Amino acid sequence: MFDSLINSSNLTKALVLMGVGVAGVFSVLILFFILIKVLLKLFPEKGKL
Amino acid sequence: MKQEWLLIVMLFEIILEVFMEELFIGFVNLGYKQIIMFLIGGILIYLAIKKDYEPMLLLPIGFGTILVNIPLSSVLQYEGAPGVLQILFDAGIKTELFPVLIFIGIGAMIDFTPLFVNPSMLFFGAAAQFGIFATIILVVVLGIDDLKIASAIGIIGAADGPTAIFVASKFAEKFLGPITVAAYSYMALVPMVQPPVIKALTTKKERLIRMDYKDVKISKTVKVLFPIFITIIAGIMAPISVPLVGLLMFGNLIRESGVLERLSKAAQNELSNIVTILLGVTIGATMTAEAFLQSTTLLILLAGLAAFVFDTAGGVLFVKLLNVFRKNKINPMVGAAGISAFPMSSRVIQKMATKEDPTNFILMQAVSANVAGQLGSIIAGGLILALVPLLLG
Repeated sequence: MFDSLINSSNLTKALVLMGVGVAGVFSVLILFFILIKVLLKLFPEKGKL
Repeated sequence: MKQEWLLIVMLFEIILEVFMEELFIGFVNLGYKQIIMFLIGGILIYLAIKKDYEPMLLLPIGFGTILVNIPLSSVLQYEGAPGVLQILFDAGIKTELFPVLIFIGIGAMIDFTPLFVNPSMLFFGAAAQFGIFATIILVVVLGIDDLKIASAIGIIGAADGPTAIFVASKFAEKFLGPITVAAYSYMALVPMVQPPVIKALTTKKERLIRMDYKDVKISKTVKVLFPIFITIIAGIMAPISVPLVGLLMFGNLIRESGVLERLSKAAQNELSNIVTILLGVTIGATMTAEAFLQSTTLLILLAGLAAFVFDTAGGVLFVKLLNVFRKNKINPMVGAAGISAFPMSSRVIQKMATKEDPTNFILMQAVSANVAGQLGSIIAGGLILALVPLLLG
């Protein structure tokens, strides 16, 4: 996936790491968000406080 | 008779010579670097006791620093065999056992309910990880030519001690000491680091924004299924993060199951406390004068501060960006709570909100973002562990 970057500078690699890393964290947390929404929909607690 | 006396005096002289040699052997080997390290150890102990800065970690680290810098100290090595702290290091840090065990305890302490009530706060937990990646770039620009070391320094921005230790032990073992000290010190300094950054990036009007909070009951099924599904999702997305996420969620499952009260309490107290003692003193043992007194240490300490500043800015600016498109505005200060320093950051945000308007309560939203930050930091750590080797080929 990153084969073309192996010979590039560390700064380029760090910039790619930032782009992919931030996107990755958001992607995983979006999945967590969907999971919470689905779980709350499937298993609602009857009463509200 | 005279000869006998002479013999006694000679014997006494020999005993004295041997005794003095043994007694002063430590002094002979004591250099100024060791004295500096004693002072650094002393400062860490002072900060822990007098200033209450993360005492659970800084005190053992400070004492470990003193132990390891005593000349000819046998804590790391004795007659060619590993000493007690070396054994602990090999068993607990090299194998990543200690940080991972700590995660069971943290998982058992975390209540995800605020996150279930405000799931959208998860995004702030993601935005506030920006500091990790921005710091990696900063460190590379400042001359660190090893992306693994740069990443280990950047992970200070996770504001999460065990994650920082976990990543640093894999990528930059020789800088484990300063990275851990920086991570825990800045976590303790959140009340001083975050407010000026937040104030610089927000207007008074923005800081006065009120947010509604609906306290909703969450079913036990949701609380039990959440850690199981999170482990599976995170494990599939970043398999290398499984020890971190998996054991954090295992601890949480013990807590939420409701049938393992004793184990939950043991994980929160006995397990966490024992591992924290061993972890702290072992990290301290990495702070030898040769390893610590380098220009890189200063860079690590400065980069750590920058990481917390970038994290805070990332969270605040992300909320401001969202507010452009939202009808119901979010208080941008909540974004800053997306760092993992729990519960310190959410307390700081509420304190700032109260200072602006004593009737404005955004604590629960800040807690939600803070809990999200704990998840975000672990995911970020896992992604860095997965991505950096790929980038290096």
